[in-house]
Amino acid sequence: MDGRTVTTMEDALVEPDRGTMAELYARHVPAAIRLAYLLTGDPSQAEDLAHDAFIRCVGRFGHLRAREAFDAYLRRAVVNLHTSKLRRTRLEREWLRREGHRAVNTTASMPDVGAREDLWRALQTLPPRQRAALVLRYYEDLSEHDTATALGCSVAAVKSLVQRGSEALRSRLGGEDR
Amino acid sequence: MTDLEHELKELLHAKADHLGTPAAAPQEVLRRGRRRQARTVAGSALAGIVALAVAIAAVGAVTRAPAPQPADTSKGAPYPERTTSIQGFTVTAPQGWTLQDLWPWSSVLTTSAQSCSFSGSGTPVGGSGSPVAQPSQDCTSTPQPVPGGVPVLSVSNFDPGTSSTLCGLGDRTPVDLPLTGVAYVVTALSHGQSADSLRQACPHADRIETALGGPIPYAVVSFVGAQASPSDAAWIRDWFHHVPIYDPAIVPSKVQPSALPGPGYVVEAGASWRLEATAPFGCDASACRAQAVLVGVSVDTTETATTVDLPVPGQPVVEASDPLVTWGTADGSVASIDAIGDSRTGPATLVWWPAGIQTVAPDVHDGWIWWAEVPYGRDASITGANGQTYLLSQTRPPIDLAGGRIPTTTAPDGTVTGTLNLFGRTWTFSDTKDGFLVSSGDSTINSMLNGGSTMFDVAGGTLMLAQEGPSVSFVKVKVDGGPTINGWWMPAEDELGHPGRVWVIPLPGTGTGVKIADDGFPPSATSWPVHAAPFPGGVVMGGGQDGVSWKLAYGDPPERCLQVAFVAGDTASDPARCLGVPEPGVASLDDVAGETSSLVVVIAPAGSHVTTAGQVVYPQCVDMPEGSGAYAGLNVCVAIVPVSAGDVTFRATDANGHLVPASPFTVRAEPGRLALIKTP
Repeated sequence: MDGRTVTTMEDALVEPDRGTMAELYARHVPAAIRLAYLLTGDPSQAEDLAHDAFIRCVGRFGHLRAREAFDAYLRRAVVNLHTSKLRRTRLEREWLRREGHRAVNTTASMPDVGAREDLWRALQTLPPRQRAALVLRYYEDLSEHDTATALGCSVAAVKSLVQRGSEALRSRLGGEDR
Repeated sequence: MTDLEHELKELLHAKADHLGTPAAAPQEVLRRGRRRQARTVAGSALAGIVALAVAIAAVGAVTRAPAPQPADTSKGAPYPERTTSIQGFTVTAPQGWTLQDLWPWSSVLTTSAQSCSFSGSGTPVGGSGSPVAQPSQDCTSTPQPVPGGVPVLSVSNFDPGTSSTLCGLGDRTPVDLPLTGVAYVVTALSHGQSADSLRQACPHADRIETALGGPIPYAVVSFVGAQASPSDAAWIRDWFHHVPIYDPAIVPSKVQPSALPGPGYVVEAGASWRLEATAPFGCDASACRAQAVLVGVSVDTTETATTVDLPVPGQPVVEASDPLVTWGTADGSVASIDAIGDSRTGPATLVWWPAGIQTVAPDVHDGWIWWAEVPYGRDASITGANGQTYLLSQTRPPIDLAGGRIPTTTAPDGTVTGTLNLFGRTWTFSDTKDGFLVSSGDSTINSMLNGGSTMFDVAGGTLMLAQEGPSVSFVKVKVDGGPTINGWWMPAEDELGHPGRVWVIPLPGTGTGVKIADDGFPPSATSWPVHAAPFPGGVVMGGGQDGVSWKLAYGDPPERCLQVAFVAGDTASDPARCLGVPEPGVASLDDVAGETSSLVVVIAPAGSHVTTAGQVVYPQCVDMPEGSGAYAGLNVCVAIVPVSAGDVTFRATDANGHLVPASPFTVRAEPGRLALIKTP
């Protein structure tokens, strides 16, 4: 033996029980909600999206041996769900049906985090994949390669998305000197 | 990083930090999670990814596994070391060892059983017709995991043949492990598959490791014979030690039925292709059609196959070509082959057909598979065993340079579909609700990013796709030293639903050039194929602003020379030179000076950030990929500094925000030179 722990099939294919799932939630979902919030711009939609992604992950991944693996997959699931047009439309419909009457207040109740609300608003107007690329690069601090993995595209496409997203932000901020 | 990017980073963190998140999982989420688990566990993952299974009895005619044979080829070159990707799983086989692509078994192994019940009533018409009421049919599908899993690939220091694997196949007994043999097998599992079934199916297993590719569980099983050499055993165990337990590159939607008619021997491979020798299931001595197959692996791991049959009397060599490699088959009378392409001529490597193929397809007993690293080979110079030389020519479909509108149809659901013949094949382009899809035949090859552009390699060349607004009237590529290829277009909405066009530009073989469009941006440099080892002229990165554009490209030799150059809007006062490689841990400054601006290059260690202060410039950075020789891993940043910009300071900082030694640099662009104002 080389000292490495060899995991058996029984170990690997066991499903997370209720306690494990709750722990997984506590460990990973808050970060997923924050990511989803930066992608959607809305706290309630973000929670729905992160929960859907979490359910998808725990449902499909029977064996969660690597915390990093779950992080990566959950991140990818959040981004995929966000950028999928059909999925996004359905989420928005569900959310509006349930929360529509207080949607505006929900957003407005967020603390003012500074004077960069114009930048925040400009970010929300970007196409989803451009927004996702910027968030993954500048919030998650992912490399271009890891961003490409999360978005399911090439590194060249990530460069293009980030460049176009940055250019669009500059343009929408009225040609400020940045 | 620019000021905007700094602001964006701070904003994102501030927004995220102020967001309240649930401390504990809501019960509804846990309940849905458990329900989802139950549904997933009940179903077989393989049932979803393998085409409708055919009973294994259908391949019962396959001959039983022959006794293991040495992997050494009796004639020609030994198989080289090969690294390739099979269904998203990256694998390396040492020189002379056998690497098998076993995924074709997925199309013939039974992974589910279907049972149907019928009911119905009716009155025969005239006593002889059909019942007036059709019987109803109710079918259910039950997962039936293959005990040893569905094999994906194997690596071994012997030839295990093609009729079974070391883990068996359904009712097929496992191949015997030679005393000196070592091997590993990668096999796709069903959720819920028991460990006992895998251990019983692989009776000679040394170790078993399970892992995850996307949602597909798979297992890696190693084998070490009792008298295996220490070096072989060490190689297998070392490889086993590094099995990735999670590989997000193995994406479930991309796992697909194999493009091959039967298990294949990988005889050579590159980053985006592999050459396999294969024979269809059911081969017997009287009739068998062994083939050489070039499998192309696209960026999203989708695989396509191009096949070459055996030579026929009077035609001792069969040739095919690809953007990266020229390959084919030859009979035993051939001694050597030189492949001739547009840009290069090169000698071919000849290997004898693998013993496992010779066993099931005796007509290949006297012949070769060959390949040459010649892009898009056209002809071949062949030398026979008697020393005579002659030329084989092949034709290839011409590229239509004119471009134009792609004929389209619109479906009731709004999907706009166009078809176009490129590289000798018919391509379908669809603007759907899910994005822009490109397909050939039945397989979707890539997905277009709305609002952006992309390139991907296909058999015969590379496709460039660009989404532009409706006011753009042309997109074309001027090939360096070649013609101008005008783009084809069809209407396609951008990601926000605005009207636009997708442009398709077919780029044959290997090349470099400049993309030109009336989109308000200066011409941009490009090169193809996308997935190729660095080659002279290959573009790493490009950019531009205010009518000036530039490229960062490989020089000659590419592993020791990286160059930056103007593409449009300005010209350099000096001839192109190779960028210097800084000492480890140190940043360096380089430049190319033009009359109205300079291209400033800062090269910094891996993981560093390059920012600017002073006048506003926008550095673009790239982490140099593996394989780029002396530059591999370095962070190379390029920025245009206009003559009018004044002093600009470039700062390179490490991951902790500390300045990298030799940084910062303060510079000022002057006509024909870059003035270094200040260094630390």
